[in-house]
Order: sequence, then C-alpha cells, then structure tokens
Amino acid sequence: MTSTEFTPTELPDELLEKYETVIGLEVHCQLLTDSKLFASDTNRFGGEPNTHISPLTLALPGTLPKLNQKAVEYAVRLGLACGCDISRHTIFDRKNYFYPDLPKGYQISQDKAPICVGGGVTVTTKDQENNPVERTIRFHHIHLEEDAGKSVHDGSSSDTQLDYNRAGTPLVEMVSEPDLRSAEETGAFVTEIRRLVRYLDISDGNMEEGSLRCDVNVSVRPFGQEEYGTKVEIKNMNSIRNIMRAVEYERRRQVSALENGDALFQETRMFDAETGETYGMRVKETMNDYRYFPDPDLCPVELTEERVQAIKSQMPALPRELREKFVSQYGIPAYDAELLTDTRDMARYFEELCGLTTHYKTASNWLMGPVRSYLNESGTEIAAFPLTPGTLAELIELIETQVISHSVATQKAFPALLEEPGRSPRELAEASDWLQNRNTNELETLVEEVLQSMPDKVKAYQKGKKGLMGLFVGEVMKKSKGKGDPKMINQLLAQKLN
Amino acid sequence: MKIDREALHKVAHLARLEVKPEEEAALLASMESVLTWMEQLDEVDTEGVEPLTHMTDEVNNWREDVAKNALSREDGLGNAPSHDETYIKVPKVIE
Repeated sequence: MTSTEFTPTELPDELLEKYETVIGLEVHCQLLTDSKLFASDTNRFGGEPNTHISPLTLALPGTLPKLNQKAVEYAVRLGLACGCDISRHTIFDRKNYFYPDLPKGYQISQDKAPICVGGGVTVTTKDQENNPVERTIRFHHIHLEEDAGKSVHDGSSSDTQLDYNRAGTPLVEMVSEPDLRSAEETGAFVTEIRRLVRYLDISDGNMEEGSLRCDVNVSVRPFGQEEYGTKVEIKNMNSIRNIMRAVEYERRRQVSALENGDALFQETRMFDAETGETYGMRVKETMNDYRYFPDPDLCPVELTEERVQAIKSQMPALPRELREKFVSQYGIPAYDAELLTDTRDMARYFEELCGLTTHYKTASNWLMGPVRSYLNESGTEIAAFPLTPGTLAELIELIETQVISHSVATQKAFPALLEEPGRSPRELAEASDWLQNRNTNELETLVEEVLQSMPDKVKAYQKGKKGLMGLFVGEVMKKSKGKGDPKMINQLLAQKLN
Repeated sequence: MKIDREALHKVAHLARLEVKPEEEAALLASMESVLTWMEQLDEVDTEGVEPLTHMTDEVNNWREDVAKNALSREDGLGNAPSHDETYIKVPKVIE
C-alpha cells in the first residue's frame, strides 16, 4: 500500500461527495402470533432451549405443514398499511439449502407469488438547512416465510448446539427497492417500519431480541451515472445505530476502493460493532442456488375482497394519519405531532386527553415536557403512567383558569400527584394552599415593598435597563411564596415603574 | 440432453451427495436419459397457459392460531443422533 492510497477513514470530503450511495433493505420481522407459521408449537422469544418444538419443526418424517391464518391476516394488515397490492392468489415455495438450523433442508418462503406487491413507506429526514424532507421508499414486495432455529457456538466444545424454539416462527420479509440514499435515511426507514409494525400490533419490533433485523445492500456510483455500482450485502443487522454505521463505513470503503482504482466484488460482508468496520467472509461463497419450487404440501391461499375489507376495517389508525389529525384537528405543531405519535400508547393517551380538555397545546406541552421527563427518569412506559388522562386534564384546567400557577403545577402539584395518583388536583391544590394569589391589593403591597427595597435597581431600570424587570418579578414572586399570578405582577410593576 | 461432469458434481454438491469417480458414467447416463425424456414436454406449446402449481383445487387449508407444544424436549432430542439434555448437537459449523 502506498501513502497516496485512500482509506475509509482518510478520504477527502470532495471525493466522497462525487458519489451517490444507493441502499436497499430486506427487513425481517417476526409476527406476534401465538403459534408458529406452519405448526402449533408456541411462538415466543426465550424459553428453555428446545421446549417449543413439534414433529414438524424438527422435520420428522410424515409431518405436514398447516398454515396459520393469523399470520396471513397480519401480513395483509402490513400490506394495507403500506399501500401494497394484496395478492388475491398466493402460494408458498421451498427455498432449498443445507444448514443445521433448518432441519427440513429447505425454508418455506414465497418466491413467485408473494402476498403483498409494491407499496412503500414515507420517511422524513432533515436537509442541510434542517428543513424536513419527505421521501417515499418503495417496496418491491412483502412475503411470508418461516424463521430458522438458532445455532449456539460454544467456544469450548467441538460441536455446534441447536435450539429449535425459533424454527418456524412466522416472519414477514419486506424487500425495498434501492431507493435509500444515506445512512440517515436508512435509519429513518427502519425506525418508521418498527413504529408501523408496533402500531399494527403485528410485532414487538424488538431489535435486541431479533424480532426485527435487516440485510443491507449498499453500492455507490458517481452522481449522474444511471447504472448501479457493484453491491455488497451486509447481513443480519439488529440495531438501527449499527445499520447506520455500517452504511457509512461501507460507502467510504467503496469510494476509497474506486478512487484507488481497485475493483469491488459482489459479496456478503459482516459488520463488526467493536471496530465499526465491515469485513468480507473468509470462506469463498459459492453462488447460492436455492432452486425455488412451489411447496406441494401447502395449497394456495385465495383472499376474497370481503376478507381483505374485513381486515382493513379492523386496522388501527396509522402514525401518519394520527400526525395529520393532531395537526389539523388539535392545531398543534408538526414537530409535537411527530413526537406524540412516536408510540401508539402515547398517541392514544394524547387523544384521550384531548377528549377531556380543549387546551390542546397545553396538553401536548405537558406530555412532551414533565410527563416525558418523568417517563425517561423512571424508565416507565406511558402505558404504565400513574396519572389518568382525567387527572392530567383537571390539572391543565387549573392552570388555564389561573387557579394555580404553571410553576406550582409543574414543581409541586405534579410530583405530589405522582405520589398519590388517585387524588383530585383541585382538592390537593386547595388542601396544600397552592391557589394562585390574584388579589390585586395584596400583590400591590408586595410590589411596593420590593421596589422600595432596591432603589438603585429601580433607577437603573428607569434609565433604560429594562432587563431588570425579570428580577423584580422574581422578587415579588418570592414574597408571594410562588402563588402570585405572574401576569398581574408584571402589570402592577409596569404601572409603578413607568 | 448432454450433461457434463461439472453439472453432475454441482447437483451432487447441492444435495450433499458424494459421487465416486467410478459412479460418474452411470449417473451421467441416467441424468441424461431423464432430461431427454423431459425435453419431450418442451415440445408442447404452453403459450398463454398459467403454470399448474398444485394438483387439486383445494385452497385456504389453514388453521386457527392456537398454541400447543406437541413434543416434549426429551422426546424431541431423543431422535437426534447426537444431543445432550438441552441441545441437539451437530459437527461444528464454521462461519
């Protein structure tokens, strides 16, 4: 290697910027059915190894697969949410390869007639000026298939150990078109898919446990060139951060190779999370030859219009629909709507809250401010948040009608209610003597006391140091023990000083 | 249809079969005769005919999503050539 060669880490930006990155994903997502795709054994993560098994899962002779109706319904739900064409006639194919985690010697998948065709997901990223940019990433198709078992490589042993609990778990595989252009966009795409499958209640989307994982195809080409470059597939990614890191590294590796005049090979690479680099598999991979053919053990699935409509009618609202509704119906900013629809439970809580108060913006501020801080600090999900929407709505009414001040509400009432979630905010505020002092005479006295106690500051203010107003307000507030109405204090001070 | 040695070994490898040199000639002849016979099917004009994927008209032979573990671990492992109390064991798979 000569000193003039570029490396992924030492690559001038102007060279990097000559190339466009092209990314396509295969996203595998485990479906939350009770039983497996073609057998009745339990579909659940964890559990003692080899306890969720059946003769079919172990490929014992004489067994026949029988399709799980729920898995079909879930795949249709996803397809409808992504605007796919739902295939009215779909079949299953055998994908043949030998690997011990697949006892049959083939995986039941879909090749020629996948259950959903086309469609896509819209992702939002930021441009250089921080403005939101929306792009729709198209799907080639979505198909159903079964997951494989797990190989456990125990370092000390000369054997590979096999756990078949996962074998046969229903998966949907979403195959995107090569529409993604950056690591950031890829991250946003996977995030949106995870949100979507959770909203649809078809998967827990848990990437650490492998419920959602991706194969990432990356290539680069000079801007303006129409043909795609040589692509590399990075297998089995199960964290959004690592997906983004792998895309960024791979893009730099490919550009530096091209700039060095080296050839790129179509290959499978792995990502090392420790080093942040991808590496080729040492073993030379013979081209896979899966020899797909229709599985004769499984008859076709015919979906009638009525069945598809029935599934459609039971679908929950999607994040995008809720975002639009929150902006148009409740008049909250798009940014707030984005955060409030991050999880379905949060969106549901906000909707309930908006049914109980008309101060939508205040409601949104409460959820994104104090409530979110509490959830983060205590590691709680909104579903387990102690205060009901009714209690929070009552607290919001107390603030909006100026019965208590905002600061008392956040600093005193909210923590106290978390201690005693059953208590009525109004009753608590009265019992704790937190009601806001809106008595003009009392406040006027306090204002005068404060101004008399700091004549120098008053002079300075009158000479133009208007920033001192905050100090005066703070002092009066202190004297009122935090109960003075800040608006009235401001007005009274302005009258006295001007 | 002619089959060469390379094609024979490719098919054998995909099926994880070991072919001894003295078996090659017989296997080549056998595969060729099968494929020659299949070639006759190619003579039929299938323009505009949908592929026949299944032999009956049966559709939607599916089941309700009800979980039931049909096999105990002990019974499941018992059929494997090599196992311990928890896992089925196979010769080490190197990635």
